[in-house]
Amino acid sequence: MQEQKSSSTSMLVIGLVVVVLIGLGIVYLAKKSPDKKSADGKKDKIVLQLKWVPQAQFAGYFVADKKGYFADENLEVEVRAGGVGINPVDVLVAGDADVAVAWTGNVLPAIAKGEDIVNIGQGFQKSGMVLVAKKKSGINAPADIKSKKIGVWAGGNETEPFAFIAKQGLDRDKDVQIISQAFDMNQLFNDEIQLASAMTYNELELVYENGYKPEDLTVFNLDENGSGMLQDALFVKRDYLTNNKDILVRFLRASMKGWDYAVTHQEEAVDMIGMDFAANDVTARPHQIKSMAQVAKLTIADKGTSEGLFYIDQTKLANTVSIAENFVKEVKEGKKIDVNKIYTQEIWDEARKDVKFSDYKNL
Amino acid sequence: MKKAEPQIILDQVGIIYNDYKIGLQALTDINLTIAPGEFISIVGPSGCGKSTILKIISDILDLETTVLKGKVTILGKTASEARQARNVGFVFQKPTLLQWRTVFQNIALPLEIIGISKSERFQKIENLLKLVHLEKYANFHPDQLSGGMQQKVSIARALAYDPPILLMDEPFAALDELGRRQLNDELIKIWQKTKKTIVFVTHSIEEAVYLSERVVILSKQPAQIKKIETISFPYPRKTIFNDLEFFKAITNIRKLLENEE
Amino acid sequence: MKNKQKYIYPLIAWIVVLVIWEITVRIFAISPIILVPPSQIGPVIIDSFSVIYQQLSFTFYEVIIGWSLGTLVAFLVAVSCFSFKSLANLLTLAAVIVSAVPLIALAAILGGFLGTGQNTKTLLVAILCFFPMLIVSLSSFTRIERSYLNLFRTYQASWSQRFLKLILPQSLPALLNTMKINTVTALTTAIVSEFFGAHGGIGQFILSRKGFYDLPMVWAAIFYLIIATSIFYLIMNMLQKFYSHWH
Repeated sequence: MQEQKSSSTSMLVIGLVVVVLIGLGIVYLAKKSPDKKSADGKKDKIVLQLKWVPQAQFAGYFVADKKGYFADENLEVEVRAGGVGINPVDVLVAGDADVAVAWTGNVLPAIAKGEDIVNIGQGFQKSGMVLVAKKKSGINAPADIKSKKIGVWAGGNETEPFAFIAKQGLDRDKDVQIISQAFDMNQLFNDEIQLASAMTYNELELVYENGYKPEDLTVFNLDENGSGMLQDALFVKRDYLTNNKDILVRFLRASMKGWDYAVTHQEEAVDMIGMDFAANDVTARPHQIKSMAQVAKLTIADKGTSEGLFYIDQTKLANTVSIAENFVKEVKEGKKIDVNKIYTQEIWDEARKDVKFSDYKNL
Repeated sequence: MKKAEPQIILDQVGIIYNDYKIGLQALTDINLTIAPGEFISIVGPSGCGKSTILKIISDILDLETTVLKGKVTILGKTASEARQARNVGFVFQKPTLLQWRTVFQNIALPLEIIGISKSERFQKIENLLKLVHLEKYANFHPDQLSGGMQQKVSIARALAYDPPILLMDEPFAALDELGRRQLNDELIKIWQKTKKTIVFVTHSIEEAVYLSERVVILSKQPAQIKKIETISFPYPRKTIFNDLEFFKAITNIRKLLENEE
Repeated sequence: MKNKQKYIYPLIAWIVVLVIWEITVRIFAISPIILVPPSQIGPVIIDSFSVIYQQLSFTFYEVIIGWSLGTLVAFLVAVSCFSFKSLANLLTLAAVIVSAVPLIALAAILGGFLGTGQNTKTLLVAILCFFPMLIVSLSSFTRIERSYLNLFRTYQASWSQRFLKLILPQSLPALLNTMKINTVTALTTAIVSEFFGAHGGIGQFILSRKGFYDLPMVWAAIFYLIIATSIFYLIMNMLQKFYSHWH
């Protein structure tokens, strides 16, 4: 009996030691930051986390890599693909990436929870998100979405559709039915949902490719509707920003060049992504080329042309914050967001000096 | 001898294996008649096909890999008819008991299959348990019994549906010397009480001589019957170990077999 | 006395784990979007039972119906064709090949033409439970020792007698074990498939709450998920123990 007791006690001690070690391991992993130097020790290393899988949406970064713009800046950039269950904001906060391509709508709830994340360059000058319905379903105006089934991409991409719903004076938990949307448009095609989330540069094109005509569809452009939020910005943690301004300037400069080239050489850019083009879905080359045209439009829109790529339009950013604070309860309930603390123009100002942008007016 | 009408007749029986892997293994020109109530043993070099003779009689030969030649007559019927009439009981080298059934339930198995009523079953099993001296173990599971006891359960089970013929394929091979002697004596008693015809395959010459009235000696591949020895010691044979004739009989057979190796 | 020890030590261990967890999060000021302390999760566990219960029962409908259906159909298919050796071999081969298709691909394919509703998920769970059950059933039905089959042959036993009195009881431990493992397969399948479009369920609930960094809710959902899964698994475990004890 005595022996048994002492053996269970030692088991308990061993168990606790293991738990403590695991705990410390987790903390270590959470706190560690990626290597700062490339393998040969000559270049500065930087990890870029994408919002989603490699596609035209990120063409400029791949161009910057393939055309050697990153190398010219003495940078080794590791581009990490996103995907289901990968939230770039999580990756950034955990310290597994230095820079993340993320949607402001996905970043604001984290900032409302107290995270100190900063926008250093605005990739897309407006939201590329639309909500699309078949006219047959009886949706012609925003007010018609009441008690309809609405598809959203769960896991951080719901803020804009949620804002849209709230803006119509509807409660997303009671007045409509939220359905988690798959990564194709079949739920819309087979009427499982009446209103679907779609990106101008991907799913909307896919709907047309499936034989639907613009006159068959109602498309709510969230940007025009006042519930769109800025997308595909480059975010960093503040402590990284403070310590690596020079690296970030070089990174942004190379990205500007990459995107300038991508926007002006769209087909070539699509081929530089390194995608395995499939036969007939969103990963097909013709689809990606159409997609690239839409992506280019978002990139050079408004201040993207007048000031230059990646310019952060304060008015638009403030507008995004106010939409989130007014119409997304997760942001509303969190800490008050100070627009001036979630971006910096400083990196852009420095990077822009040595970049000569093309003339986008003729595109 | 006392035997009248033969019960089992093997007439020019032979076996050819289809399977090339087994290749040469075969039985040829087996002629054997066994009388009702006889205790006959089969010995031979290992792998010569002793057990195959039992499979032929019980009609459980795998006909996908073997071709049977010659004629088998059991109680005036073909082997297949005799099996369908449940004329033959088989005790395998391993006890082949169902682990999830108790001793009682294992013996009940053939009776359940035949469709004998519960009360009748009960009576029969009680008697069989007494016959093999396992009354106390009725509710034990096989894994709680020794190897010898398990094999006794297997014998009781084979006797349960009262087949006139009992085939035994090296049933005590896995037992130690003492356990085997004990079971040999019990088997003789069972045989005398039940008057079954027993065809007993063994690799132990001593066991064959001790148990049986006749011993069939097979040659090596392709196996033929080399000789059939008649063992005329009276039963019970407990005192036989003091008898020089017993050892002479064993030595005789051993010599015949040694020439085969 | 002994019983008391049996419960006290794990309890102490758990309390210590929770305390270390709490202290670690506070000392190292771990971001609330990465890890939240138990003190923040506890109240949510209590408050949000009904919300989570609704999502859990949505998923467990998929799990239980799908699991039962897959298990039953696989068993019946195996029963009806194991006697035909070449058919059984062919089916086993096919089952092994289909089992190699990743769940994600299968979910996407099925979702494409059957939609992403509860029935599709149920079907997916059924398919993923079906193949292991079919493989194990076929292999255990056909792997009965020759001497046992010969024994039943000497009894002139019918097909059904041989199946019910020999093959089934002999295979039951393997079948029960597969059914037990399939409870976990079923649950994983249901949850993961909810990541690829769903009308409800705990998987999409966790994903969408995670999207808003609502970690206390995510942990509360995981807490109830673990409890529900354990109950399901333990029921199967008890059934298995009960069987092996009985026989």
